Amino acid sequence: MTKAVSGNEPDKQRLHIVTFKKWVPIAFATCLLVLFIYVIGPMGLETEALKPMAEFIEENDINVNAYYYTEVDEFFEAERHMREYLKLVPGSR
Amino acid sequence: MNNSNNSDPSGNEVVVDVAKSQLSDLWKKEDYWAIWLGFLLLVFGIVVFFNNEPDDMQGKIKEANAAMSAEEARAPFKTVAWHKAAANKHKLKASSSKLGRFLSKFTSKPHKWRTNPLDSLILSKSAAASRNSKTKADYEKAKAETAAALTAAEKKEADAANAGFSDEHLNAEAQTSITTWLIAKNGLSKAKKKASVKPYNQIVYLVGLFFVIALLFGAGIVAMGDSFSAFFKGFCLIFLLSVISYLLASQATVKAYGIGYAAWAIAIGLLISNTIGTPNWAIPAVQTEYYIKTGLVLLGAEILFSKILSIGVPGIFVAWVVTPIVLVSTYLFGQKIIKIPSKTLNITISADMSVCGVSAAIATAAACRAKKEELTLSVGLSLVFTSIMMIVMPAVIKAVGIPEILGGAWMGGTIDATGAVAAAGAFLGEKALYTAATIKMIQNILIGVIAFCVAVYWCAKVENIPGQKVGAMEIWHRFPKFVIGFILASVIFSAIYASLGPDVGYTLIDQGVIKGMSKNLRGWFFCLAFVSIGLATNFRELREQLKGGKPLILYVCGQTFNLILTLMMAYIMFYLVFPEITGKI
Repeated sequence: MTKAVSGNEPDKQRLHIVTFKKWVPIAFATCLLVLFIYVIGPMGLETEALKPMAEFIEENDINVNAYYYTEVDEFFEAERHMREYLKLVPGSR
Repeated sequence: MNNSNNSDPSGNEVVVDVAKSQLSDLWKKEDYWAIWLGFLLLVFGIVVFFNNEPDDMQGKIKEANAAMSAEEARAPFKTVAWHKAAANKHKLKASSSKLGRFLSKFTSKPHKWRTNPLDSLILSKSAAASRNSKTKADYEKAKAETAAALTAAEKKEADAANAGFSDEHLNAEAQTSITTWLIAKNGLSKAKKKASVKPYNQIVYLVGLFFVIALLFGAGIVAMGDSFSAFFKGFCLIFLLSVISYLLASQATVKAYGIGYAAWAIAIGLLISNTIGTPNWAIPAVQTEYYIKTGLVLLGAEILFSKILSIGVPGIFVAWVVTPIVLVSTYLFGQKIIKIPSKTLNITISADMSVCGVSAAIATAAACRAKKEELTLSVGLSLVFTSIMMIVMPAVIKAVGIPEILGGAWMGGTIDATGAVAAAGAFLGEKALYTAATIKMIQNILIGVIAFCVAVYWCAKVENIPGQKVGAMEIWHRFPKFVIGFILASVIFSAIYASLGPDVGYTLIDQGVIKGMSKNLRGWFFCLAFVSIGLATNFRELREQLKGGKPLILYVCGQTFNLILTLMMAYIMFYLVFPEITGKI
């Protein structure tokens, strides 16, 4: 049986290939990400240079990714400490 | 957004406004919509949290302060009773009310996870119980240790009291015991947090949050003459990518490396726009400026000037003298020596590096109408150097033997990202944390002043034709109006905070409006903005900015100068000019 070939089938195929090619970097990036999260990242944190800080952050649950002081509890603790110990402003409490 | 005001002469998308004003701007310009939305949310926060204050808040604060004053009069050091009274006062939080807790959960980002991403969105009762049972033993141990430390501290304090607090040796022993108890107590509170995990289903809240944010921004979109349905369709993708960015930033390993949501949002957006392309139906929701400006108005409420004076004169000198000097010097260095072609890129990197990283970069970029690629580049540079400095600086300080307070001041003044300052400071020690955190806090507060000055300077000087002089009205026409909302939010909240006093202010504003709602929403708005930046950026445009490595040279030179000047100023202020304050920390 002869398969009917439409005139624009090669174009369609090319389109499929182009679309597929566009998705390759996304698939590659996803693989890299998985590799980083589950393999490379944890390995890096085991190195002598990073381990102490990584363990410290984990243990104390510090929000390292914060962009402003209101996102970090330690800042309120520091502010309270400074205010209560220094008492620079009379009647501040 | 189909804003004619979003292009510079070269056709690049910029954070921009046109140089003419009319009444209809109030409902047709995103700058004003950013102000209306920001203030609507802040007023809502005030109404909710001020009407849900903790039971007998004033009475409890009064009682705690009376107890603390009595203890201060009784003993030459902070006694156990003093610390207990202080802890009772700090427990008062408006965000702990029923409505406060709901709002906090409703606006919350995904939770921390390790291996299964779903853990960040859903935690069943059995999974929560299993987590709690694993940490219960540690909690019980910490509880026993704290109780023992408290008994020891009380005994030592009683010995000192029996000697009329006149025996220096007994006083010192009591202080050491109290410090040991406080450390144990701190450990207990962390162990308790880990052993009292509650089940959650964040998906329900995220769906609700999606609709609320879509409706809020959608209202502005309609008023500005665009289609709500087109915006809503695109917003589905933008919000989904924001959730994914937050989810990736919440992974334990990723968190340890300090890779925050901004980096993920830009990376995901870039990946999509430079591979399969940003879908046309999503473009109406790629509203970088609209999201950023609204987020900045909310950020204004967190810039509390009234806090500055109460947290230490030496820190004020380090942050408010060194930071502007480094900012201006780096900008001039970029213009005169390495000749960076874009002034907006130059000032954005300078502010990012000298003030406080991402948040300063966002505010400055918006104030000077920087291109989105310039903001991306500044944020990228800051994230890379922050991760390095967070690890290297404590190690160098320890190796060289720099005193803790000096080291803390040095790190607080130089490490860009606020969270990294907390980690590096705490890693070095308690005193280093207190110093680093207060200096970074004062720097954070500088954002408002810097954004305002940059906006005025750009309108009055940079955007002029050579030789042109502009009058006050022209400056007003050119001025990015959202900055007014940003500054106004800061002034109003600072005034409210000052009138309430630090105790009530802490309970209702820090631990109410801000912690319970506004900081979470501000984070979401910035995340939406960074996703939008990624989706609208071409790798080629980004590469163009990196030509000749000038931005990198600017950052490295500026940061080197910052490191030297901050260390010098911190030494002078903490050890030569105010040694008595250093002794009290």
